[in-house]
Amino acid sequence: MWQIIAESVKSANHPLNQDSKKYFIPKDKEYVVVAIADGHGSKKCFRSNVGSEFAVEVLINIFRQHFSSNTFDNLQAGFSGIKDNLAKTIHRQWMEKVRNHLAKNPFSFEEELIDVKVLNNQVISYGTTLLGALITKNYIIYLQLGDGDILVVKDNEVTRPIPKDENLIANETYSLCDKEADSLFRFYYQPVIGQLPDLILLSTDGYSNSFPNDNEFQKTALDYNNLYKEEGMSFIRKNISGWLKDTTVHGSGDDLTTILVFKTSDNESATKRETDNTN
Amino acid sequence: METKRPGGVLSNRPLHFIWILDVSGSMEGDKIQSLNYAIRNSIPAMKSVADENPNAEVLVRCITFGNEVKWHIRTAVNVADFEWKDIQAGGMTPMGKAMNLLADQLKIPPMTDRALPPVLVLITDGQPTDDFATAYQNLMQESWAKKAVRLGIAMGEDADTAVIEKFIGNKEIKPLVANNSEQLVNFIKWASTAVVQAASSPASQLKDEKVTGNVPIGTMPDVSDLNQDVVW
Repeated sequence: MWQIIAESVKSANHPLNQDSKKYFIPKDKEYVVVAIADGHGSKKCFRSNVGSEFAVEVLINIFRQHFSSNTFDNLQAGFSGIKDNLAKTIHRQWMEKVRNHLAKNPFSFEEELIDVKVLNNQVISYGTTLLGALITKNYIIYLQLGDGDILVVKDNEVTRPIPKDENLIANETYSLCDKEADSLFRFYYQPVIGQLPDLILLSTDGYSNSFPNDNEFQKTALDYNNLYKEEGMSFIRKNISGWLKDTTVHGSGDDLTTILVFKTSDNESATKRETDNTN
Repeated sequence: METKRPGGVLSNRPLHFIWILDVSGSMEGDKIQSLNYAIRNSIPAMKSVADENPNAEVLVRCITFGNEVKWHIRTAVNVADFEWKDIQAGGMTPMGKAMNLLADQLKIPPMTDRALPPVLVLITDGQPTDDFATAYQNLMQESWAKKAVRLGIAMGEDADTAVIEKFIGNKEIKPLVANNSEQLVNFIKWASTAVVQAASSPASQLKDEKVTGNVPIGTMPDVSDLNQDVVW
């Protein structure tokens, strides 16, 4: 029912890629979970590549558990109550992972000297955004903390299930390392009526920042959808890394990560085995 | 086989650099000549920095305030095409009106949400002769004014550094006091190179982490090796 591509390219301006990506499709392909995270590049967030990795792991695991226990079934009237707990759980579990990591990997002497504020609140060094989606036959849950984009293509139209946050400009973003992060998550619960979307695209802000405006960026989703129909998955898989490199070089100059979830027809085999891929 | 990249036309991110220059009567003579020279002198280095940062499109504009408040360079010019046309001095110091003119251009639109933090450089030798405080308050209502890198250069000891400090709005960044032409050249070169460099590739930051701006601009220029004569 679904085919997925997850790809990430490092900025030429960064010593390492601080983005992370992860997805999961169970054997029975009943659902898909996808997550990407953009570790902050500021000097204070020197462990954000680890923080972003923890973020996608936490979200994938939580969505899997909730799907298994049917938490989100028939929620049209009551998702608002659940989303607060969901945000709190994601935030708490991410914090636990960070604190465990810190306990096993205390700051080095050099790291201690980077910033006194970080020394007093070491979680800051792991700061990251988080975007994700749980896609099932009956509903889709989209989630976002901080910058980045989620685009949906259906019937050749592009929509944003979670609108852009007008408060986030000048490279500022909300972060999982914020003490109040659970209140900064945004969700969209969408019952599936009729057909599933043709494509769901998640990307870090390096992608949309490479285009002069949102219209030019949204063409990426339409183009991927058309390429999938006309050229097939292997064509996209073969070329996507080069396309993303070209995009960041001539665009934002930022790390660039995207996950594409294509709807397949029922008789197409999306995944032949259980997949838990971090690439 | 066609391998056209998905998506529309690509674009680097605009970095607006705006000079806000005092051209009041007290700037007449050596000061205005030095200012014209210093800005013209800084252009090659500014172009070099822009060339080294292809993911930013450095766009230059200039406001002057004196006999009138106006855009000396109204349309944002790519630094590659930037040429300096000399300014003349005369009149009062309507710095507040200059803030209002600036505020209009920092709204969204005409600014876009994907721009890099703008760099705003105020240069003055005196004190406002109009209502700076209210105009500054209005300016700081604009998101891009809050997120901008705001710098201030005082030309001579008579400049109102308290006003410049207010404009900068960041205790970690002090007004640069230029007492002669050599120091002015040094400060203007720093603002148009080191600061542009820093603003060209800002890393993502936690929202509201700082009171003003979000670009670490590094070490302030050192004038200890320069001529220390107090000319102005």
